[in-house]
Amino acid sequence: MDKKRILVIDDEENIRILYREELEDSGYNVTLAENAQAALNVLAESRPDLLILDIKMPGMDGIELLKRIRENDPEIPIIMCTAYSDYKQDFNLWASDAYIVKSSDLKELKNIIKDILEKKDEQNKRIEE
Amino acid sequence: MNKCVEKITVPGDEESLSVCFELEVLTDISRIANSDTNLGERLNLIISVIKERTGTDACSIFLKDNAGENLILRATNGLSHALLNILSIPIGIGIAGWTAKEKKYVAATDASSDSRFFSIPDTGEDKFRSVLSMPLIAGENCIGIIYTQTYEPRTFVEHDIKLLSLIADQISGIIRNTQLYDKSQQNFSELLLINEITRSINSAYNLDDLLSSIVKRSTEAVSASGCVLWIVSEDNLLPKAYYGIDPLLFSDHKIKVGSEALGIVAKLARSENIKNISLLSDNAFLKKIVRFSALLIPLTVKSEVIGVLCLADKKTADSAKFTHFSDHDHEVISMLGGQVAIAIDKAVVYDRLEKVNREREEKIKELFLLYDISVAMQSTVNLDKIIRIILSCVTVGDLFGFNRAILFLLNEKTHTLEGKMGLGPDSAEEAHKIWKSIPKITNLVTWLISQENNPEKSGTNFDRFSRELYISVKRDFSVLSQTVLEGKHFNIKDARNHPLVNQELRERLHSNSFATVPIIAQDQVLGVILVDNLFSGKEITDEDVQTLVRFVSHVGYALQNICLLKKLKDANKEILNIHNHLIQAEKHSALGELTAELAHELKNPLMIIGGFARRLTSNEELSREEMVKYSGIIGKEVKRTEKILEEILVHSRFIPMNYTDCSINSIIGNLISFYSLALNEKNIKVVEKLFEETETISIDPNQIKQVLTNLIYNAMEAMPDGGILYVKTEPNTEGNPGVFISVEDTGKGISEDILNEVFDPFFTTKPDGSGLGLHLSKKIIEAHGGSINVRSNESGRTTFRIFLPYNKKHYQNGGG
Repeated sequence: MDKKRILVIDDEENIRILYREELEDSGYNVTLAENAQAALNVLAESRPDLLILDIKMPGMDGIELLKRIRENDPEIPIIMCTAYSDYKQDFNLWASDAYIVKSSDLKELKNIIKDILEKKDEQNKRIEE
Repeated sequence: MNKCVEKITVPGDEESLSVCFELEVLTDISRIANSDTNLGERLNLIISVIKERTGTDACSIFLKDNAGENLILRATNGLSHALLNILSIPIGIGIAGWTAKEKKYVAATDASSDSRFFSIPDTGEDKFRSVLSMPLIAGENCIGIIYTQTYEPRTFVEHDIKLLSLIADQISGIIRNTQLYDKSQQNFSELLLINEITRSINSAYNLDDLLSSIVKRSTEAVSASGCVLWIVSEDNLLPKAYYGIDPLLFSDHKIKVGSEALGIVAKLARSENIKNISLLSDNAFLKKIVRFSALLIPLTVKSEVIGVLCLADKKTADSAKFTHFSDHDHEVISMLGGQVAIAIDKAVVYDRLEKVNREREEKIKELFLLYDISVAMQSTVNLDKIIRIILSCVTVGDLFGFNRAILFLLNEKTHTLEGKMGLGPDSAEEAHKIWKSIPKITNLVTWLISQENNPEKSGTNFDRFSRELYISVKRDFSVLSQTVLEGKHFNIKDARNHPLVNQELRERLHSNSFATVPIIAQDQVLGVILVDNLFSGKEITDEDVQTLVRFVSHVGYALQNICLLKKLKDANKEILNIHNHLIQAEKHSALGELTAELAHELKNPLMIIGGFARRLTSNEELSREEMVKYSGIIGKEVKRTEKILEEILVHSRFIPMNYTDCSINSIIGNLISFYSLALNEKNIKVVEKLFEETETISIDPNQIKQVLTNLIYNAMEAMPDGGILYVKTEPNTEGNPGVFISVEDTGKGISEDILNEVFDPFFTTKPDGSGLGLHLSKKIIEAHGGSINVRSNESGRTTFRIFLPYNKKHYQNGGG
């Protein structure tokens, strides 16, 4: 089984580093992008297995990016990740697969990633059959 | 048979000869007399026989008239026929008159030299020299005379006299009987006629039909040319029915009881037989309708004159010309008059009964209709739908059927009548179309309910026009404003000339007559309904308006309930709005935005610090490189955090202010007014105690409003079941000159242990509160150089007290 590829988009450098360290330890292949444009560039070249999007970013924000990505790829798993709690009200987020609030403990995030990828695998298996 | 006098020759018996002769004559006469022909013809035949038998040149029969004062020529053979029924000799005058008076015969050889002779011109009697006049006696009375005349002088012998006397005896009885028979026949047929008339009169209970029948039958009964019936009404005679006479001749004239022949008949209850109309004065009213003769009969019921019957111009038997009404006609009509009066009286009573019944029926119909309408109105609590139902009722057939209707509601705050809806066609063509196509409304309730959903009715020009109408009740002095102020309805019949009608409005309405009715509930005027009949042009009677008033009185309560419900909903919405505004305000206040921003800023560093710290303390083997790297990142982030905190501190001192001179009482007063509805709905009474301001205070009014709003809102939240809100301003009498503002509620109270924390940022007792309200308020007050504190006890009385100094030291970076 190939390593799953995760694309992380966040404007904070140290957060990107933290994510990479943690997620690579969990056995994932991590690609980083510092803003929406960089993310779109990556997506143009390849298809990651999962995306983690920060909402509050300079320029195009996470929600706009989410919409853009969904236009081209309705199936790709996306997790929204943010410091704000009041985005929970934003109905645009239904397009994403999960929503978590940033915290220093990444255990919850890792669990969600695992669940989503497993479900996706099952789905794909059924389609193939 | 009649020539036996020549045939029989009995020698020498002159007496028996004359007896035989007499027998023959009498036989002839007897036969004629007993024949079936009418009296006139029989008389003619008889006098022919007499003339022949008596060998005279002229034989005439005069009969006494009804009054018994004159002898009228009834049959003649020898005198001019033109004199028949016209030649009238008074009893006692002339030979003829003497005969009738004295009941004795006159045999005058030379008539003109007889002392009793009286010459009557144009009778042609001067041709005759001798006269034998015999009275006709029936019983004790003389009923007439036989008058025989000869050209040549003749001495009448005993034989002649005896013969004529026998003949007279013979025929007087017959004449008398015939007269009696004719009279009784006439009486009988007249009684029949009266009976028939009475019956037909009594079969008509409708007053108008009755009166028409009366005038027609009366005219026919006496062969008049026409008849008019007047009824007494409040001391005047009003023509109510006519036959055979042009109404234009009399319709304009009102006759007072007591004046004119008619009025006198009515006043004195005495009938009048006018035999010759020319005897009346020239400007007599009757001359307008009567040409020759008239019969005036009072109609009396229980000794009260209720009217007068006037018959005009009796026609002669051959209808060739007019004659006067006979006494007999007078009797007949008098009898008829009595019956007629009773019949009219009955009909009037019946008429009144019918009217009462009809009114009762109408009321019952109205009640049922109102019930149906109530049911329909209860089917909805939507104000627009109710208004549509109300206006539909008012413009639909049967009960009201007004062409158009507008409903106005009174805006209590601005004292204006605002048009809410108008129902009605836009043009006459449309009106006609609608009336033609109106289906028979069998179930009013369902139809009414269906109307509320009828889209084509709304949005008509008339509806749009109605919704644009705004009438100021205080400023304009007009029908509509008065309807509201006086709570009275108006029925304007001529809008163009009515002093209260606003001509501009009238022009826009187009109708010259309309009615307004106030909608009242519990002595309060809620609005007005205006109706008109622009297209049908039908007059709006006062009765119509009364019915509308009754209907609207029911409507008032339903409307009031719905208006209150709407107000409640609006108040609720307003409260929600305030709530949202507050939240937004708090969020968007300068500090609020900064706080949100800063929160985000802090979360990232915290995550990074925590994350890497975790990695450092994990059991995993880390390289020295990694340890240095992680520690370095942690250090950097800590520094970042410190910077952020410093920023917070800096920013918290800086709030952009706009100071202006204000009246603190005005600000408070306006604020309270603004929230009065919401406070009222929450059952919170406001007690204001504001001191007499002598100077203005320099503050940022928006910021202070925000603070006060926050306090008021918190107070409202503390009193969910209602209570009292005390708002007080007072000057500071000792120390720093300024104003104290206190806001106190009778609500839940704040417990002592958290009393100190209420001004802390992010402190809130509400699940959805931001916790910034009081914190910000305190910041604002302190920026003004003032202070705020709170007192509360568990029993439930919380007081927030603000101090604001008059002389603000404007700090850019400081407060307190």
